[in-house]
Amino acid sequence: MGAKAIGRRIVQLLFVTWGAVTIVFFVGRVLPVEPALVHSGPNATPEMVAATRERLGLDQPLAVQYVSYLKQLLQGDLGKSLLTGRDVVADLQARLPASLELIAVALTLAGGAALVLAMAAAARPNGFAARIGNAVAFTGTALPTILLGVLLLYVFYLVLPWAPPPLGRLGLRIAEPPRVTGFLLVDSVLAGRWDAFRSAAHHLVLPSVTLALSIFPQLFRVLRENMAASLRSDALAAVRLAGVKPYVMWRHYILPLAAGPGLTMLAASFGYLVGGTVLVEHIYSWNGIGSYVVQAIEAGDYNGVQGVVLISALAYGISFFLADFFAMRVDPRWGREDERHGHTA
Amino acid sequence: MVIRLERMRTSIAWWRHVPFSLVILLLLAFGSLVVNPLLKLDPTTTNIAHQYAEPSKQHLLGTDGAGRDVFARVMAAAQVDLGIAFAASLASVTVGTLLGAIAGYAGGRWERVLLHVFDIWQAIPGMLLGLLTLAVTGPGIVPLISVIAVINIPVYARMVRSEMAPLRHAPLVEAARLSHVSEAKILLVYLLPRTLTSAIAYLPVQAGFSVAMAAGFGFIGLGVKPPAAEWGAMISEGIADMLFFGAWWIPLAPGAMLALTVFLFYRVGHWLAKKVGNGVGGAV
Repeated sequence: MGAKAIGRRIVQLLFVTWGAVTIVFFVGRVLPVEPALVHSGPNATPEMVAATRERLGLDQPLAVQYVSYLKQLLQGDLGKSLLTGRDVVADLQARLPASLELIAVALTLAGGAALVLAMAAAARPNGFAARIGNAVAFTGTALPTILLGVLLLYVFYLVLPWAPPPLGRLGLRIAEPPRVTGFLLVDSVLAGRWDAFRSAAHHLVLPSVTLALSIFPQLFRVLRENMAASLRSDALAAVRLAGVKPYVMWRHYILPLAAGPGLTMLAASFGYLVGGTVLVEHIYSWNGIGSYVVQAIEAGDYNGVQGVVLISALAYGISFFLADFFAMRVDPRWGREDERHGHTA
Repeated sequence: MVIRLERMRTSIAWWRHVPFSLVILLLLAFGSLVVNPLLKLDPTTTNIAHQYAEPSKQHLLGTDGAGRDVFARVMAAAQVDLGIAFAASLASVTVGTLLGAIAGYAGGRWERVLLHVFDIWQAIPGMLLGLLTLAVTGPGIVPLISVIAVINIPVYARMVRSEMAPLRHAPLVEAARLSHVSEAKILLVYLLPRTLTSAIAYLPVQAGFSVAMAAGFGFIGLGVKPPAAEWGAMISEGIADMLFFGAWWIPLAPGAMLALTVFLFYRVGHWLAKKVGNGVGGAV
């Protein structure tokens, strides 16, 4: 892949991030609500609101405010949170790993299951694996995330008492391992604390399966359609006639073609998960950025909300960049196709 | 003979072609308006003597922690959720279609700028864009409708633009210009109806998403104010009742209705996409 294509993607990423920042700025200032009121919280007195207006420079012209806002962001300053009284950046550092761990496990579960089941379903459209894949995809499509979460909780906590109570990331009697990365699975391994590892994994099962089920259908369908189309193609018939082994056929002919659409769908799923985690963290009392943003809204803490939104938009942009990057490495035509049509689905 | 029968069926018994899912969906919408008054049920009447009553003849879906009839609440909530989805879909398809039509018809620099705007619009995951806006406006039905509409606008705009762009240089446009038809009329009257295929086919699916999204915002407390009923808020409030009192019907009844509604919209969308696809496929 050429450096030019990468450069173009980086410019695109920067442009979209700038756009997101601008939207966040204008939603905060231009909507017909007094921003100083929003920033000083719901219980502020008129004097406090006036003080806030001055402190935030809200009496300045909009353009001046915009420039100083950009400057602040470039210095990594997201302001103070009304909810916790700390810097939003510090809050995010404390809360982000919990959500990322959940999202990473969910992406791995959904991506792995979709890949394996789609390969089986493409090879044997009426086989057992294909039926399982279709059934799971149907479940994920038909049941909204909130119902999935509550239903799994009902079945696996109340009816079959297999799952731990939905009260956070660790059992009540388990001490948290010393914080290194913030990912409990990683930290407990680093500290050699197997009890904490088991408890963290146990608590991750239901929320991550809920999230995984909600993104599985799109992943499964995209991969299956792509692989089935490759298998049907004349090119692959020729490859088969040449006596190429099935492993080589999948590794070099079918999987690389499915990489582009599959990775793009994975990146899109990541965006969905960022929203979905807000709902799932609410069900399972998960102490991540999803529950943080809800608490911030309840407290009228605009800085907290915009911090979460900005970090998510940035992560979403980066995930698309990475998806394109890896897809181009596997299938060099991926980037060029994009140039020809202007836009990919 | 067989063919003749087939023809009779398509011309006379048109109702045979209305899908089951659409009928149920309309019944549900109609039912949400009339069932409570007809059965003299009230979604907000509390009755502490009858709290956590299991589903029975007297209370079809049981009662909640305040002794309110869950069936009455589910039906009252249907009004709210379907209403939000209806209003939001209408708003987003209207604005999205107009923006997309303008982008596709104008072409050139305007088209590129608008496409970039749609890109950025969609770069913030919808749920978060909604949270951001609701953080400023505060919870409520009107903000919720606007938020869901805003999230969906770029989807329609893209669809309509991609169908409008190839029509921009159609002979029809040139002919109309030569006979001094105004640009606005060419765009709105001559071209727009030809570009609505995928937008219309997508509308029911998006209405289903909108129901789920409305319930999602209600779930985290950004929907209607209690004691009014809304599916997402009912599910959220019911989780504790389910965990501590085993009252599974309180969150699962509205959950099942939510899932049924989303599924029905999805089926209707599937049917419509096929219909529209068949009708227009040869014409373009």
